[in-house]
Amino acid sequence: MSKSDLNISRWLEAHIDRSASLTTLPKNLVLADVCGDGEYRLVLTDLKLENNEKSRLKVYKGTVLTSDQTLPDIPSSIISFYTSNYDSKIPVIGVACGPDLLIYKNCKPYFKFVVPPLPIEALEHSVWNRLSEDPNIDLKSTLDDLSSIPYNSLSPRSQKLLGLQTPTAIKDFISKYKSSEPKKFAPITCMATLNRSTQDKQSPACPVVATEAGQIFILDPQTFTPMHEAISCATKAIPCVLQAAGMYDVEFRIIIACRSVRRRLNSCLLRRGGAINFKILKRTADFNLSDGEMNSNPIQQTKPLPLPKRSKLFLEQSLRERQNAVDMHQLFQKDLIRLRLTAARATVQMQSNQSSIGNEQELVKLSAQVLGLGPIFTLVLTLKNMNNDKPLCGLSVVFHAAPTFYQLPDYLLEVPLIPPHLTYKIETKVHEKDAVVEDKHDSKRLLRVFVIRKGEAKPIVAAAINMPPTDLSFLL
Amino acid sequence: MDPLYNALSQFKRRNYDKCVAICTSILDKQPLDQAAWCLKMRALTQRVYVDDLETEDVLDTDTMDDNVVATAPRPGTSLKPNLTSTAQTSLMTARPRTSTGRPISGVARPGTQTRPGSSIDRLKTARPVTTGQTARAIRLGTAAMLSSKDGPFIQVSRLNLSKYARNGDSFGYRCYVVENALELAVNLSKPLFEYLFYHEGDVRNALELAVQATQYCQFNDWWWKVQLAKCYVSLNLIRDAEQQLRSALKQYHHVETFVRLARIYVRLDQPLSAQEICKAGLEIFPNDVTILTELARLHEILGDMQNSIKFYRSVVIEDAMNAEAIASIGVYHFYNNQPELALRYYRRVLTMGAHSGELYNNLGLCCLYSQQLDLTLVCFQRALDLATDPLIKADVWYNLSHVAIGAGDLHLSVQCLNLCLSCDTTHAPALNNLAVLNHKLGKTNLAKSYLASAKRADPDLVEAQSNLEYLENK
Repeated sequence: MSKSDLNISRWLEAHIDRSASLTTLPKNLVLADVCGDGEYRLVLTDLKLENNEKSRLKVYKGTVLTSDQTLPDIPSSIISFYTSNYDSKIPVIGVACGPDLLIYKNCKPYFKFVVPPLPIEALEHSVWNRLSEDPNIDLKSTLDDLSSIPYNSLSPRSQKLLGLQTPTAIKDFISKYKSSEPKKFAPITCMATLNRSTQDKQSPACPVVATEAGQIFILDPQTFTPMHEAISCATKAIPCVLQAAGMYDVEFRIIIACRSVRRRLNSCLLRRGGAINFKILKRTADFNLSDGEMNSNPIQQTKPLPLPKRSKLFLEQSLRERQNAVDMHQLFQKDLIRLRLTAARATVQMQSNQSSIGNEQELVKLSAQVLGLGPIFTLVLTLKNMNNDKPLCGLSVVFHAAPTFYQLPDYLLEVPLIPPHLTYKIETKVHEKDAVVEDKHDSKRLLRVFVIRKGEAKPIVAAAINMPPTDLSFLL
Repeated sequence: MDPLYNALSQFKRRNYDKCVAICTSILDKQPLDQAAWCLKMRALTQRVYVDDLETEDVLDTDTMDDNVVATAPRPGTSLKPNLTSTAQTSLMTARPRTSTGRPISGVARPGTQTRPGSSIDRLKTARPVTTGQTARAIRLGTAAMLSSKDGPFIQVSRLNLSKYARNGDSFGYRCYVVENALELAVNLSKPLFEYLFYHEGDVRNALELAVQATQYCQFNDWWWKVQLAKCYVSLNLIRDAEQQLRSALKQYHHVETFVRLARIYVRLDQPLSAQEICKAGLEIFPNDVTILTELARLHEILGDMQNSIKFYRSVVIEDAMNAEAIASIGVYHFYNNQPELALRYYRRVLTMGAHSGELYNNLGLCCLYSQQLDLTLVCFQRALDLATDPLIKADVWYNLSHVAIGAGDLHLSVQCLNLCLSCDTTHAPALNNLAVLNHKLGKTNLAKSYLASAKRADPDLVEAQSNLEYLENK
């Protein structure tokens, strides 16, 4: 289902704060019961890319900001998961900042997991060894050794060293760092959670962490140590979307989308221009697209209608409309009232003529058909019971015709019980007595049919049938 | 004054009854006066003359027709309405069709506007379809016969059309005239033919006269060939008529002959041949209104509205007062979503003096859809007042129900639709809309029943069918 299929009317506007000035990315937003009181809060990271500002972790309760903490680095993704079955049911929040996974519990820093360092090139290792052992080393040749290693596979420390210009700065830098081993960390790019042994919502779940180097770590939810490690892909592709399914103890599958396969990520960004917007999904909202909704339109209607050219005449008419809007509206309303009167009059006329085809109150429908060339016609009357549950009973049909003109075998017919939704057909022969007479008055050709109920004076339905004249040309 | 001169003058002034009376008095005195006899014949013919080119009644479903070339013609080559070819349906989606499946045309002509209650109902009552003499001719003949008090002017059954008719009775001049009719073909046989064909409606005798006359002039007179074709057409001998018209065209180019030949091909369900004939005619008579109109109609029936309108526009350039062309262009614009242009054309028709319920109905619709609301209901009210035909009245009420829906008054809309149905019980779209409104009001069972009726009234109505399916699947 695409987003456009969700009708906007399914949402109620709850809160908009246009001055919230939040910047965030997908996967940086979770709803979690962070205090364990059963009330879900919105946890999000507010990205600040400027140097002098720190990114922040914010928690909203309802529409109120309840917690706001600075983050050491730019966060890439956040998750929430339960750590164990035993302690109080409070989920922790995991925020990925660079190579660190910061775990927060009760909105307080709780634990920090650092992605194991990547192996360092042997040459780089030896360069730093030499630098720490021999203070009088030939700096130029060592740095040349260092720059022979591909820049991308160097540790950040070596990269920085190579970027320094002045010899004093280089010396200072070396003396500052030579005592420790260089380390290379890949920053975390995306995270997901994988339930450990049951699919319960509140059961412990393992954080799954993917790094820029393509490493995947599945962590133990209690000790936060890697339980499982994998390399995403033989080629150098950077994971950027992670989805885990299944259970760690049984069987699981992790689907990784890498940044070189996908180019665009902002599919569910909820806020633009820094505004925060809370929406409430109506309880009655229906997200299922029923078959009828999908297939109700005939094929012809799926094609968009071509828009006609707007003629000069159209513009003139719309100008007239704009200039005389009030007058036109008032005139139309007046005419509409007049139309209601006309329609009501015509309806009364129709009812007094008893020419209506059905009775809305009784839910009876009568239709008539005349067959034959004459002088003997067959009249077929169809009575339909449109009631949902009530059968029709005690009805009879009365025929009314000019006796000098038409003769019927029976003028009163009893109608048997008609069950709901069924029809009853009555066939009767109408004999035209004097076929040769040319009569100008059509009123004599009128045959009236009344459907009456016993003990009621007013007929339920009545119909006037214009009998066709006998076609003499076929007799001659 | 010479009574014959007076009669001629009356004839010219179209006082046919007076002309006939004078001629009768002359003939009472001089039974063998050829001039008076001829004038009386012509006056009687003119009195009942109808333009049979315009009123030709083409039967839609002729089951006994043995002239049909193909039972499953290729799309776009047939006038048969119920073709399910995609090309046609896609062309037709914008414009509604009549119950016989033809696209609605700008003006009502025989065969275009047939609606339930007219010819279709006639077919439903199991009456056989006449294929011989057209019903119109019979009617006119009987009317004329009844109007003359002292017997018919010419007793057709006793006419001896061969050369040597010799029976003498009280109408002595008759035999004389008939004997000479063939010799003096130019003088009398032509009026006699027209009298027989139009006034008497006696196609068989007219045909016999025409056969002998064309033999007498050694097949050199194109006029007789056209008349023969007319007789053959009304006797449903289409191929013979085609032959005669083709032969006539070889001798002389006449607009009427071209149009009649095109009509033959329409009868044979070969619209493309008909178009070719018309185009050939246009080369000889460039910008002829009759042929242009014929072409426009042919394109219209085939669903090729663009070309149809092109020809109608040419007609209007030639004849700015051609109501059919103006109205057709109006209809085209209306269904092309430009009601404001349609309004202009209909107003033109109105200023030309037309004053009918249909026209006001169309004006009302144009006003409604071009947002000129203050004029809408006034037009519809006039349409209601002027409409005498219950079918037109039904359509006006149907349109008014749309106005009511637009104004948000569902109750009024239901009332309008009920009134529409009281005028025309088989108005399928009204039944369908009534069902939709009732469904909206929560009366689903009633809606189903109405939909079933709508489907029965017009089995081809897509809306009723799909609505019914929707309700059944719910």
